[in-house]
This record gives sequence, structure tokens and C-alpha cells, in this order.
Amino acid sequence: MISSISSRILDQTRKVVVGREAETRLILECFLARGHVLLEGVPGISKTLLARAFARSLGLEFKRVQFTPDMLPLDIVGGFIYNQAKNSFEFRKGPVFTNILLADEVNRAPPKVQSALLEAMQELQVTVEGHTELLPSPMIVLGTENPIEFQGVYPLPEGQLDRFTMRVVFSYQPLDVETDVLQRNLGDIDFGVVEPVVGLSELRGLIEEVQNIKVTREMLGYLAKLGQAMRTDPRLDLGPSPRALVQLLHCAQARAALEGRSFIIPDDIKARSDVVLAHRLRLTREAALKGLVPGPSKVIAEMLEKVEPPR
Amino acid sequence: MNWTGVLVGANAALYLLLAYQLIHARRLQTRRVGNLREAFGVLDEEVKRGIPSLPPGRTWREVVAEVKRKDLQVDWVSFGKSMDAYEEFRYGDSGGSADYREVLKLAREVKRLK
Repeated sequence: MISSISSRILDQTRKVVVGREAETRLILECFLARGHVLLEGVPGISKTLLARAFARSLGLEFKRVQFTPDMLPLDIVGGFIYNQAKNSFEFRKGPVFTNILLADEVNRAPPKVQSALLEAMQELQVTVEGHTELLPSPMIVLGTENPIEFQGVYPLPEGQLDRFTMRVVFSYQPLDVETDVLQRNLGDIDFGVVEPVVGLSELRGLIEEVQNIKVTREMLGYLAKLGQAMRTDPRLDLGPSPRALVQLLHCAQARAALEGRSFIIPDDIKARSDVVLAHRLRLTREAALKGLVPGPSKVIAEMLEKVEPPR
Repeated sequence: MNWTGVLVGANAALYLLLAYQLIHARRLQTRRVGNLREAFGVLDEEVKRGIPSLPPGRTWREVVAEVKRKDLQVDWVSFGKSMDAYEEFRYGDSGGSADYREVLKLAREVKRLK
């Protein structure tokens, strides 16, 4: 059932976005795994376009916030506004109160704003001056990030990166796909052609289905072994946290469900290790100087070749 | 002509041939197995012996993708069905009873690679 929904969603997003099937699938997996995604790539590479099309295909409420250096936390989470007629303060919800929030260029905002958003992502609730409001469910943040070499960006600290379940890197498309992109953009893009293909209650059911995907104790042991192998690798200053491993497990469950299985296999873990773990690992200065390009991905790939999966 | 020498030589050649055949047959012989899990156990041993360069972190699917490139005489559709049943048994909570002849055939083919 989940796999058919996946192809329906892909059919819809394809109407406006050319050639981003793998990225769409990853975002869907992350959504079903109750996580948040960091979309990384240079400006103008269809990150925002895909996020909007994805939200429309799910028929969920969608909001977009463009992060800027002069933002305040209340611009995201909301705050108390004085109501003159009632002579009292009322809580006005910020844009974080939505099902799908596109936090555009999240690393352009000052750390206080990033921190307010990331706390909301973690707790799925907002507390302002002792007043707590729950966020809608399901809720996913699609944060877009410019590469850190760009001007005017504040790099996300490790603790905040750890709250993003996946980092999906958008690369330039191959020549033929880019030609199709240009063809598609000869006219205006009409998001009206993207139809919602799944309802809210159905989505909640799917999320529950993913949670029920079977994981054997041996598979948990394999995941733990991978985590420990990375933490003890001398090339890494910072290995994966237990939270990272939990999120990798959830993503493996979502992948298994999308492939029509009721249980996870080692391939699910291996296939999602890089997108879930790479942005959380930090190379030692020495390893970075030795040019381990593209960084932690290489270490992850080596560990996956060394640690024996249950066969 | 020394017939004794010829006969001894012929005998020796015959026994050598017989010994070679016995050793060869023993090499190709696979352990008796009674179920799918044991069949995959045999395949695992043969893969470890036959392709020692394969990194230990490979999953079954990766191993199969690797041996498929070696042009072995195996019915991959039938093997795929056995593999699905094995995965369901190994990582899920059912299955385990499926035809495993093709798994053993692959084990024999991998054994020939040595």
C-alpha cells in the first residue's frame, strides 16, 4: 500500500519538477520516519520547487519562511500580541504551526532563531513565556541550506545538525535532464496541476505502519556495531549519536515499507547510512587536511564494508 | 618390449586418474542440507572460500549482485524467490520453507570459482 502511494506522489511531483525522483523519495521516507530534512545545494537548483510540489501532493498545510540575518525567534514560533478590544495579550501562532514548513536558507538566520526552530522540531511544541502550544501532527521541516562557503551564512552547529534526520544534497542534473528543465520552464510553472493524492488520516496510518515494520534484535546489534565502529575511528572527532542511530533505524523502516516489506534488511541500513549520518560526523583536523574528500562519507563507506551484517 | 613396465605404467596412470576424479568429485560435493537456512549457510561458506576478496560488510543482496557478474549457470529467477523467502525468514517473522535447489546450485558454481 505504501509503495503505491509513493509512486502516486512521484507522479504528482514530476508534473512540475524534472528529474528529482531520488530526492523526492528520500523526503517521503524521512516524512514517514517522523523526521526533518536538510536540503543542501546551491541556489536555484529546485529545492524550494520540490518542497512545494511535495507538500501539495500530500495535501497538507504548507508554509515557507525565508530566513534572514535580522530575524527574531518570534518570527518563527509566534508570540503574545496585545489585543486592545479584550484588553489582554493573545498568543499569535508563528509559521512553524503547519504540517510542512519550508525553512529556506536556514543557515542565514542568527543562532537564536535557528535554535528556536530546532527546539520546536525536536519537541513538536512551542513554549513562549510559560505558554505551551502543540504543533500540528504530522509535521516536517524541510530546511534548505546554502553551502557554507557562501557569504552571510551562519554554519549550523553540530547539536542543531543532529536534529535533522537526513541531509539531501542537490547536485546539478545531467545534460539531458537539464535540457528538460529548460523545456519545462519555457512557460510559467502552475502548481495547480499537482493534485493531493493522500489524505491526512491515511498519512497518519502510513506513519503508524512504518513504526510497525519489524526489526530483529540482530539488526539492532548490527546498527549499534556500526555506530561504535565510527565512534572509535581515529579519523573522526565526532561519531554518530544514539539519536542519529535511532533516526537511521526509522529511515530504514520507512525504506523497507516503501519497498513493500514488513521487515528491515541490512541493505536498508546501508542504503541510508550516508544521508542520515554524514552531516553529523566531524573529521579530525588531521583527516581533513589529508583531504578525505568528500569527508565523512568516505569513512562511512569504509565502515559499511568492514562491519559484518547479519546474513 | 618390457610388458611388465608398460602394465605398471598403465596401472599407475589409471590410479592417478581415479584419484584425481575422487578429489575433484569431493571438491564439488556439497554438504547434505535439509532446509533453506542450511542451504544459505552452505552458500555463505562457499562465498567466503570462493571469493575471499569480498569485504566482510557485504549483505546477501550485494554478494548476489557480485556473483551475478561472473556468468554462472544459475536460474536467477528461481534463486530470487528462494532469497525472498530466506530474507522473510531471517529478518521477518515467517517463511523459511521454499525450494532451495538453486541456492545449492549457486554454492556449487561458486565452489568451481576457486
